[in-house]
Amino acid sequence: MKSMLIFGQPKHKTMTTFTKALMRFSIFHRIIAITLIVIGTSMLIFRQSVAGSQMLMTGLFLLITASEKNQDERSMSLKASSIFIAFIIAYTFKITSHELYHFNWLPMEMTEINHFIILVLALTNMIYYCRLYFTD
Amino acid sequence: MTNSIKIERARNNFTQADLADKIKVSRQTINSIEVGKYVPSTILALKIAKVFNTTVDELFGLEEKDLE
Repeated sequence: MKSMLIFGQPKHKTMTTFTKALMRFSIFHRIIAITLIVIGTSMLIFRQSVAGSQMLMTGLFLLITASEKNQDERSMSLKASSIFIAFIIAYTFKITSHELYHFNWLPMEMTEINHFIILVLALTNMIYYCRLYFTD
Repeated sequence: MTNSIKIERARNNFTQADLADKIKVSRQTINSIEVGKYVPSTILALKIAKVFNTTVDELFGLEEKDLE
């Protein structure tokens, strides 16, 4: 009651303004993430530059950390488990590709740490958004 | 774990979206809890119980396999 008198505004009104600001920030966050992913991917494909892979990593990381419109405990739990699943898949792929390359069954192997991180982050995003929107 | 959220919703004439709006979660979260795919936190369980004016004990129950 005292805090309501100090601010002179009903508490719910302040919350609504805060939520709106958070929503706007979330959209901005997502736009930056997608822009970085697009620029980073094209730089990595066409110029094979380190800056491209760093941009892509940053974009994918920003996309994971972007808050949802309806962020709740289930979405947080899905995010955490998606990172875990993505890491297992990516590491299995890394080990397999190394072994196959060793036996000359694969023409390339994953040695760059940046590429491994990009794979983990990309898989995390795919798994997380698929589980969030396509499963009930 | 069993729950009677669906029954309570029907009794109070709420849709999943109505309940989700009231406790500030997504509709998918409510559905996951109802079908038993997701176990809510204590806070969320208390919030749901408060909406239906009941207790957590009446909403959620343990099954035999949970006690093993």
